[in-house]
Amino acid sequence: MKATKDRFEARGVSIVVISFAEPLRLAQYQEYHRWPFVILADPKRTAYDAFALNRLSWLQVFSPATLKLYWRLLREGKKREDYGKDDIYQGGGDFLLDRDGNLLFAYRSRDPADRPTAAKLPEIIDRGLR
Amino acid sequence: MEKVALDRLTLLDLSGKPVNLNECFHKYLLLIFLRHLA
Repeated sequence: MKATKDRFEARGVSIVVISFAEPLRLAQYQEYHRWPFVILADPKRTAYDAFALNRLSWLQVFSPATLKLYWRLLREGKKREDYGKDDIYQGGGDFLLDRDGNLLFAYRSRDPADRPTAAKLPEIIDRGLR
Repeated sequence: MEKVALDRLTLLDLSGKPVNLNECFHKYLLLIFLRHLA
């Protein structure tokens, strides 16, 4: 994770992770995971709305790609942590912006397993920054 | 190019205090929106 952060910082890119969870729940999550990024809460989902991140359908949430991902994680011995009741239908995404708020790159996930990999993002960012 | 009014977003730090995203910038900002906590 730290290496990933360094790759982004070398490109002048700060990373901020946003969740719709309440700050207290997010603090518990961060206490456990200790991600080396700024993590912010958006419980009113103003940012999710501003970036047009809609709720997913049942078919999208339980897509074959999602089930395959969770099956792989289970096989790797990763346990699901219990952070309380959560909204599994909220879509996510990844966005690159400049200081003026211009959107240089946007990726809205089609299902929970759909996102650019940490290895792919720097390549995409390099293309976006050209 | 699509533009986002960053100063209008109501984001909170882990202690519940409002955060201005403009203060989080280096040169560019990558925002990663989580799906759910897992």
